Amino acid sequence: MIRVQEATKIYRVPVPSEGRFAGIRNLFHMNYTDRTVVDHISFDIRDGESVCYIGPNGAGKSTTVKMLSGILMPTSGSVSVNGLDPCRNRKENARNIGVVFGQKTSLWWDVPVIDSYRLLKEMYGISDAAFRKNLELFCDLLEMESFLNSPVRQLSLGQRMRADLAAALLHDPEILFLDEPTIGVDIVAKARIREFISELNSTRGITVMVTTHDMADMEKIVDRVIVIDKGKIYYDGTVAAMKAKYGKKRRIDLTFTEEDPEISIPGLTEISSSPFSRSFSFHTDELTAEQTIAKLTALPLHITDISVQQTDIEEIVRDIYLQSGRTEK
Amino acid sequence: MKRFFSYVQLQFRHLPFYRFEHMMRCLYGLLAMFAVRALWTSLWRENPSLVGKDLPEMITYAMTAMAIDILFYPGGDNSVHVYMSRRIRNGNIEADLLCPMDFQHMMLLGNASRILVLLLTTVLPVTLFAFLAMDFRLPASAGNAAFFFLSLILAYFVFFGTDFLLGLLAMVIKNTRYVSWAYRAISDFFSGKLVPLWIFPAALRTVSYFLPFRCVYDIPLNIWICSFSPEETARALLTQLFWAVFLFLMGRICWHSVRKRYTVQGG
Repeated sequence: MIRVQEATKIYRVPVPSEGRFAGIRNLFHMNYTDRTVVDHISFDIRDGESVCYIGPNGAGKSTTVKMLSGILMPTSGSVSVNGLDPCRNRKENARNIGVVFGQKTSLWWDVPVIDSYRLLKEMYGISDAAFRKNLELFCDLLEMESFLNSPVRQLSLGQRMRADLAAALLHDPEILFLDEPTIGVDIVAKARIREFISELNSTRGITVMVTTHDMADMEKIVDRVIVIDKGKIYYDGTVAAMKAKYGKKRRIDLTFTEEDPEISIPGLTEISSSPFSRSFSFHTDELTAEQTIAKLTALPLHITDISVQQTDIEEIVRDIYLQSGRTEK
Repeated sequence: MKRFFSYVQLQFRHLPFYRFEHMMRCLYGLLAMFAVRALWTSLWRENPSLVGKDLPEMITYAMTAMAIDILFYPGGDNSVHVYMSRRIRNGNIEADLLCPMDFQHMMLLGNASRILVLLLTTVLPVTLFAFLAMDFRLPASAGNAAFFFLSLILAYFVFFGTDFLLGLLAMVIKNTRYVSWAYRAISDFFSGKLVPLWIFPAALRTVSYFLPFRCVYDIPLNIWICSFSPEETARALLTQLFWAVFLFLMGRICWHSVRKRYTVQGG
């Protein structure tokens, strides 16, 4: 069980002064300002749940993961993981969790992957049998056999990510934190990583919290999504509920035989146009798809093709980000 | 202990990937020994009373100092503050903080394993060569050799203690490059590495006795060349033990206070 209550993290950042001799003045006196990276956020994650934590760059995603994994201490508020304060009980907490930072590796750079695993085995006190069993399983599921004896620095990004994922799971953690696990990874490796995470969540009941920019990660891995921006939570619920709440926008694409026809229907907003095609968006609260098509076909146009599309998840999230400056959860 | 041997194993696995670097380190050790031997030989020939020891004793002191320098050079890869500073700047220290081990303990295991591998693969061959080809003297008795190794182990803990504190400073000020330079200069001067402390003016020698740096070079080196009486040896070992424990405890206290101030570098 993960519990975050009114957690806030404030960084003190230097503000160099500007103007004449600023470089020299800054040497002797530097001004500082407080930057709130995570701002009074609260949420609970139940055991076995899979949650996607999404937000634009600088939203506070990684800082939240670092507070939950015991790397950073919240400035105020509290976080607890399985009843432990992750920072005060860093060592105990580390035994219960697995963490993968997509942009960094926890493996030793110059030695073969298997040697890093052997050291992790001693660090975590993993029994020989459990180590062998997990290693075989992960080699099989993540197809790691071919690079297990290669130094980490010689691995491709996708291979390194799989190696890091296995390293985070060798000690059978109850909770897995993944910070952008598919960043920069090719499409095949991404699919393999997503399948692996989903399988762990469903078969082993591991609680998974993923931060990502990749909407496909969200759709394929998790049941619940938390949207964060500027340190605040703007949405917390299921992916389906998010689509129902925010996915009311539709897109309609038209192709016709005339060049640049006049189309003016209240509720339709033009998105793009070319001489023989036009794209509009409309909100289902104002116009249904049926009404829109009826109004369009009533116009003196020779429409050769028409298609209506639902808003994709990326657009929904973009809308939430855009609204985040105005409304809160 | 099992963890320590896993670290040692990892360090040995690391070696073949940087064979050239390893050979260069051995060559550096030999050149440094040769250089100090030539320097002290000419100084001794100019003025034996200035040096205050007989020539083989003096060159053994200076050459052993160079051998210890390979192990305890506070600016190379064997330095925990260099490791910490680098990882704090690029944010990779997070991986260390995620391990289920006491941070200071983990840094000690990683660093001590590296020093042990350096001792076995670099210092011992270089010292053997110096013994065979460069008038390098061994301790007078097995007892002296045993006290030297005990003193060297304590010297390591003092070296680690100061180095770890400097590493923690990197958590606050982020870049310790120039602090490191200053530290190295002070440590080199007051440790007896470059110039034996018995040559120092009385006032400077007194200052050096209040600092931990002599525990890293001066004490083990004097034990090696047998210039301490048994009482002096016992007092010197106790001094090293005091500094090792004091710095270790300081490291623990500072770690707990610095930890709260740590901010992450990069996303």
